[in-house]
Amino acid sequence: MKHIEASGESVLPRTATGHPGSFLTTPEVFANHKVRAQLSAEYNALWLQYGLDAILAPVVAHPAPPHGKYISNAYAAV
Amino acid sequence: VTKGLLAAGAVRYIKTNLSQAHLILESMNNVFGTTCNPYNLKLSVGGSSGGEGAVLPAKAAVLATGTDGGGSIRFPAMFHGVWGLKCSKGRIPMTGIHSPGDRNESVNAGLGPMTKTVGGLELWLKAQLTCRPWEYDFTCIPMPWQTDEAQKCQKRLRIGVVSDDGVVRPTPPISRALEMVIDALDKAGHEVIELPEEQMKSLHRRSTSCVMKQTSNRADTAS
Repeated sequence: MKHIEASGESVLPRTATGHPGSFLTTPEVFANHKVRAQLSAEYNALWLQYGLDAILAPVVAHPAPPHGKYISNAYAAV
Repeated sequence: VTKGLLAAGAVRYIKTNLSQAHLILESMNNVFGTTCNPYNLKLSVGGSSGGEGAVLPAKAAVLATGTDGGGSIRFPAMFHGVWGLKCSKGRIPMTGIHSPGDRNESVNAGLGPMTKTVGGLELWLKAQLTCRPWEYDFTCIPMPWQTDEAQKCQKRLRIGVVSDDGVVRPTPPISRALEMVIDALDKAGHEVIELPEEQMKSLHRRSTSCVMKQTSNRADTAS
């Protein structure tokens, strides 16, 4: 983001989630890491409970969309 | 990452388009514009490593390399009907890569290949690990290529399915594809179980909000 800011290049709407205006404060980042650890533990418990070898899930909820129109990367990101 | 490929005799000849700052699952930026899907120019190639996905069906390359934190190999692979493998963090050296992956402890990004065949994935990964990356990049796990592990599995596997994450319900083509995979696994003798729907939806909703966490209740929030 530093180089983009310095260049004066406009930020594409979808990139804007990484814009300074949306940055978390240090305590917010810290708290979010605790949440992430808790969620990982819950997922791990499920994995063990069912004795899984693998999990099958979609990559994304839809096929290739028109340019700039994807809805969410929820499946892949989690 | 190029070290392993070059040592195995690879010829580098294309560097392809990606998204602005690797931050979106598209391949559009203000420098090179928008990359179009070779199957239908009106459609997205995915991203961030979207150009790498597009070169395979365009028959411009046989082996592609990408990085993936939240879908950047998997989106392009899916949008082009090719194989993609996001290796775990610490498997492939990230040194020298100008991406959020290098030394970023918050994002568990990993490197990996995209190819038209499973054998291609194996070739790429084998080339990487033959160079023993842990001997020159301290973030890599000392774990060599294991031929035994790469063989077709003989035992019966138990595979859990997440068919709806409760955030975005898959569209019919995606659900149909999932059914086809489940059917194939079943025919191959593996056990496929649906994970508890409500529990998975809750877990995935909370996880999505954690991953995409943005500041709230602040006046200067980007619109």
